[in-house]
Amino acid sequence: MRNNSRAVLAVLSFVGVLSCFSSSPAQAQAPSKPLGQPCNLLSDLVQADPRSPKPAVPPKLTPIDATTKTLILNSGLPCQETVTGDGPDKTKTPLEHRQRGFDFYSWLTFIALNSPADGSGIDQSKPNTKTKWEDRANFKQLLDVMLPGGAASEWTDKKQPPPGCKSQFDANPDMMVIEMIEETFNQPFKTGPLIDQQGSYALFDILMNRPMFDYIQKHKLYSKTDQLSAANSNLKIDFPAGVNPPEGQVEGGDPGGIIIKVSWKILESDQEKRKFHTVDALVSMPREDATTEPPCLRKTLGLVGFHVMHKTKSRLQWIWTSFEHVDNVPEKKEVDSRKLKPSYSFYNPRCNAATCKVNETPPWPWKPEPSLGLKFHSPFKSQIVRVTPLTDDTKKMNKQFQGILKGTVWENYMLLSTQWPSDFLCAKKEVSDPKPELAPNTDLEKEPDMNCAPAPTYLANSTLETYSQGDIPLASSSCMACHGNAASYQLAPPDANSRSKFFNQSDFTFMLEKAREKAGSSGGSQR
Amino acid sequence: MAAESCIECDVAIVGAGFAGALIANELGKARKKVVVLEAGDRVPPNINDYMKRFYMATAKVPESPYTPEVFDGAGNLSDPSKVNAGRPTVLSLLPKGSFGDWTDPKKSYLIQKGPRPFASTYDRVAGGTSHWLGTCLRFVPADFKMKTNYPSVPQFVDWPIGYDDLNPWYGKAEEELGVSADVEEQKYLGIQFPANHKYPMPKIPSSLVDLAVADALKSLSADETKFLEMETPPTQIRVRNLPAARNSQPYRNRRACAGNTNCIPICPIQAKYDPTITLNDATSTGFVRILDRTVASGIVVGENGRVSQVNFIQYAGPRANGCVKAKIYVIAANAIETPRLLLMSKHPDPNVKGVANSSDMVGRDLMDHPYYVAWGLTATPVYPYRGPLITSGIGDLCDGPFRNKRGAFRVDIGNEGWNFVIGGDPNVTTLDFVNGMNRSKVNVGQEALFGKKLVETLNDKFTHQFRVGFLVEQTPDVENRVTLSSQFRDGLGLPRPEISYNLSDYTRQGIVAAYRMKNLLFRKMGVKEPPVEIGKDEPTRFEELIDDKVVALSYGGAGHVMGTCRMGSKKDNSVVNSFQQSWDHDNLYLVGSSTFPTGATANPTLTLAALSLRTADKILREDLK
Amino acid sequence: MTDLPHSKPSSVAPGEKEDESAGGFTRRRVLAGAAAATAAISVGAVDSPASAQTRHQDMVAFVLLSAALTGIAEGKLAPNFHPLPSPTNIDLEQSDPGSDPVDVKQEYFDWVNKRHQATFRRLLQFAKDSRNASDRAQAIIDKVQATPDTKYLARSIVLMWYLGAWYDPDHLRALVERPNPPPAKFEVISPKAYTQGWALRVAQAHPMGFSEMQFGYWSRPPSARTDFIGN
Repeated sequence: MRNNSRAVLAVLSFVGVLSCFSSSPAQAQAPSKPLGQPCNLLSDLVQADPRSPKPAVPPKLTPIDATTKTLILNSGLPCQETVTGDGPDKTKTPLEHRQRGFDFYSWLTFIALNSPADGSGIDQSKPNTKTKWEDRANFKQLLDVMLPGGAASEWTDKKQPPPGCKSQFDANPDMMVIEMIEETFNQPFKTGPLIDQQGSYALFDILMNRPMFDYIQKHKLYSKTDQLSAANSNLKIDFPAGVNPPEGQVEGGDPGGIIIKVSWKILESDQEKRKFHTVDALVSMPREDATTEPPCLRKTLGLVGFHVMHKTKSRLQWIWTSFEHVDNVPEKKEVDSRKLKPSYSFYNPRCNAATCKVNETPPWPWKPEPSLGLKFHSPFKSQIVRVTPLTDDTKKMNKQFQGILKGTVWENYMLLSTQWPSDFLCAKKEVSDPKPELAPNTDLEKEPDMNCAPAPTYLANSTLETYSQGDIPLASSSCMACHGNAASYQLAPPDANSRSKFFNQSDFTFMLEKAREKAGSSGGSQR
Repeated sequence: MAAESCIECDVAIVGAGFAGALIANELGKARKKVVVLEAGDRVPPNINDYMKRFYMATAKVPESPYTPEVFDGAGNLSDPSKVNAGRPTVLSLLPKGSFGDWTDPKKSYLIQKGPRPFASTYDRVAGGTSHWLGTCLRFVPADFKMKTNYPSVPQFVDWPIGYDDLNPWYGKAEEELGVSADVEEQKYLGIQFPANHKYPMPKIPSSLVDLAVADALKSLSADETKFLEMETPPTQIRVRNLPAARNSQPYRNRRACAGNTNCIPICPIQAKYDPTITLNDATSTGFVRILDRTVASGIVVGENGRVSQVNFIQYAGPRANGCVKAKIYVIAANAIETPRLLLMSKHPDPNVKGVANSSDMVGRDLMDHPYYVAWGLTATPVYPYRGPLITSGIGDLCDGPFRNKRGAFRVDIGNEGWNFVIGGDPNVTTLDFVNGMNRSKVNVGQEALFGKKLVETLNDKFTHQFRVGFLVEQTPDVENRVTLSSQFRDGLGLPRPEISYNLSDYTRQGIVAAYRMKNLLFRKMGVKEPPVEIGKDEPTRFEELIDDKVVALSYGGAGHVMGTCRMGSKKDNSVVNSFQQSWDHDNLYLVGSSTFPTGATANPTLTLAALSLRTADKILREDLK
Repeated sequence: MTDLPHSKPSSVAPGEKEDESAGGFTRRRVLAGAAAATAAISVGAVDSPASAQTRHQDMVAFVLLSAALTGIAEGKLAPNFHPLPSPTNIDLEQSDPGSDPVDVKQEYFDWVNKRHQATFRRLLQFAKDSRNASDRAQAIIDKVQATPDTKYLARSIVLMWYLGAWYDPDHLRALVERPNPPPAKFEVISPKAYTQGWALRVAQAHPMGFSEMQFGYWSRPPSARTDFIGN
């Protein structure tokens, strides 16, 4: 049907683009097509007979094998999800069919974002090949947007490393730079750092794409002072949403807003460096005071966790994808049945539960000690177990994708799950009170469930939500239940009476919290 | 205890609650070595267990999420003689002979001698008031000078400091806890702020219930309000937003409130401040160590009158005894456990009962805010059960000439319908209309409904539910006191607190005034009260003659335990000075609301937090410099 | 992309377009054997050796029964519930009992079935028999009221949906029939059940301790009751 032909068209046009570039390393700096242009229209459930307008047989699952390998690996970034409750497997519920569709979409997204920045294919990549999201033309780190003094910036501004990193950076301007703040080593809401089995801190970072950046600049949300200002009182924060091109077309779509959160492990041995995607990075340790420059350490970082948030027109509560490296931690079932790997990054299979208590936070203090580099101050190592297992369906899909990524480090990554708003009518529905100003871009007045029934209910990455795994409502990690609480610094308009409506909901992202005040402004007293 | 095996540090703090945590953090930031002894369980990495316990609790009382468990395996109240670090529960405030007999030591942790029950409770984890609502009210200036202002009331004394002394510390405490409020709105009854002062966050939006109350009280006649005996009878009574340690914006890595309507007993997203937040910061300094499941059992005083060590019992695993030696000791164990510890400790002079007690005031003047509640159905829907439990109140009536005769009251406007006043709505009302019962008193016909009728009826009832509460000023009465039980012990063998408690006439007249205020409010709002009767065996029941009619009233506890180690300007009639330093032992500080000489009507937390920061500053400036 | 007709789940007509984000519309799938097998996977511990088909039909009946007794729409109790071929002509086999991530209906079904299987089956039969009555809810309610067994179990089921808690039917009976009734006793079924309680959603609010709304919502009037309960 149209799906397939569109997908083929998409691939053909992409292949056309590819042929403009040689893949020699000398041209690695040549810009490749923007992510999501054109949109990847592949979906997992394809109609059996593309020409039939009303197919008599149910959709077929996309094979992910040698026959479709090239197509899938080069299909690009999806702009919008394509899922259906229908499927050939009659033992599955509509929910499970859609989950599969979302998981497929997540893998396409993962592949597109981690494809080489130079435009070559991911199956050509080496462990340390720069990915598209690591390319500052495609994604910016949060601290490069939320600048000191609440300053504005341009997308094309050059990266300014912290002063302590300047000389090393100038020698190697291609390097990733991580400027550590609390959130770089301490998990959300200060729930604790993660210490690997070699005694080093895991590091966390957040990045956003151009549509997110443009929206933030347009409304001056990079500045806390401006968030607080009267000009922003009536703004209902509504980041751009991804949308596929119109029916039958290839161009005209847009990926919309994407936010990435990553976790890194510090790699020391060459053996390790072959199994992870790696990046050569400068890590600036947390600042102790205004005058002392913290140490700037050059480290090889290995990717261990990868979150993607993607907003689409049909899922305005965003789609939440999470990947991990396969060697991070065992599942609880594996621990109980002693089916363990010889080693993990965050678990010691030779230590018993009494000595190495599972999922415990490290002993205080948690802040890295500058003199120790990024090593933890005590012999403690995090002993982490995954509480919620991956579903069999997801494991099966992982196997298939890992199969077509064989020979690259990307075969060592797995999808945990995709969380998505499952109440579709809610996800894009209008409120009962049809006022124009409440048009359904981001419906901020949904009751009783503004999250529109997240599926699955809980989701936690063992490296990013290490200590809040579980299945207790609100207490345990759920991307959407938590991010649904995100708010900005907006204030009610100065002339508001007690009955006027006011919204400070920040459209599911906590990034706006990190905006800083303009110098000399009298804002609230925040750290 | 052999001296060489004691833990050594600069400052030893007993109790990891608000006061203990704040002081520990200030000292830790200044690189002083601090050891905190906390009687309760350790703070877990997440609140999964607390929330699970809460969701599963059939009685969602303030203690319900936390350990120790309220019920034992057989469904009875846990026997306090078997609990290592016990605490009272509201479920043991019930009539004699009932399930939670307030006089039965097998049910009640506190040995209540009466004549009336002391109705407030506390927890034993991270201090003991993580279950608090979040209210952060400042005292009004008059509250500090009750003896000077109202000399006809013999029980009152003045604080040795005043509002101006605490003003800057209030500001620091508000910053530490993260208080949301609007400065202009909080300027009443003499409360003022430094120029250009701002609260850390803007105020929490008012609820629809608040607006309904404000509407009803915006136009009154002098005749209607003269019973209040204010300076002049008000023709409008202002409803003001309640300053609260509840985020209205992202603040210090915590989320803004999402209106889970669960502040008491636990905020599922930690938008409400609790001491574990400061404990996290304190331990992060690297200088503060918390020993959990560690119960202070005795303060040892040396020959020179200074405290030489604190002994403790640990129960995480096999019982172990230990001790801590420090330069400075801070007891922050709440206004029942602190005097308990002082009285349990032996003073070298046999004539002195306990430590820090040359005044014989330790344990005396136990105060609460007796809490009067009333409820009814409004004329038009007010949509309760939405937002924080309380977002606004009435503070303008907290001071006036009436205070010569009767206790003041502060008004709490409840957002949670009849949840707590009828013992657990929506369960009670839903059960009534499904099973044809009338425990809520609004199913007079005892209808049993299904389907659409059930939906319409319940919607009608719930959306009109309204409840109001009054915190009443209690006089410090010398006979209201905490002593040690000679008979009953806890699971560690330590004597349990024995409580003598009564309400003075002054206090009861405050409740009477609250009752009249309730009548005025309900009349103006068009609220109809259900025909509720206070059982004759209800231990908190009392009767008053009001307008020639005998009216039965009852009180609850606000959870505000105060007064038992009062501060003063002289050592013969107080326990500590204005820095909360013991008159008897230079290196001993007693902190928390136990040092309040009078209780006024404001929730004590912000004031005790301000005092704690002031004490920490003094310790750093003078004792440890 | 084209907007879909805004329709309440419980009144979706046959051939109605499902949600689609991109690409064409797919027709609603025919459920025949699929749903039966679905039930086989999703049903938990069940004592009687009912076939997967029976379990599927029982779940459809349970949803119809629960909606009638509680007054809350089928599509809210069981999201994505679809009566087929039409809401006035329900085929137990064809109808979709719904699939959603929380799936509290399964927890409740198993809970009641385990404790009062015989009477529960009678209640399910009432729902099956009356499924195409012109006033289905009233027909089921009338049948249920006829004997004490079914009446009190029905009340337990209503309380279960409303409060996430179990009040035993014999206990409910004692509460109204004994001269000196004991205090009301109940047990909370699970944290999930508690947070899925309908009592306060009927009140246009939310269970205490579980809000899925955000900052400031309480300063605005709530959405209409129909947004909460579908009816």
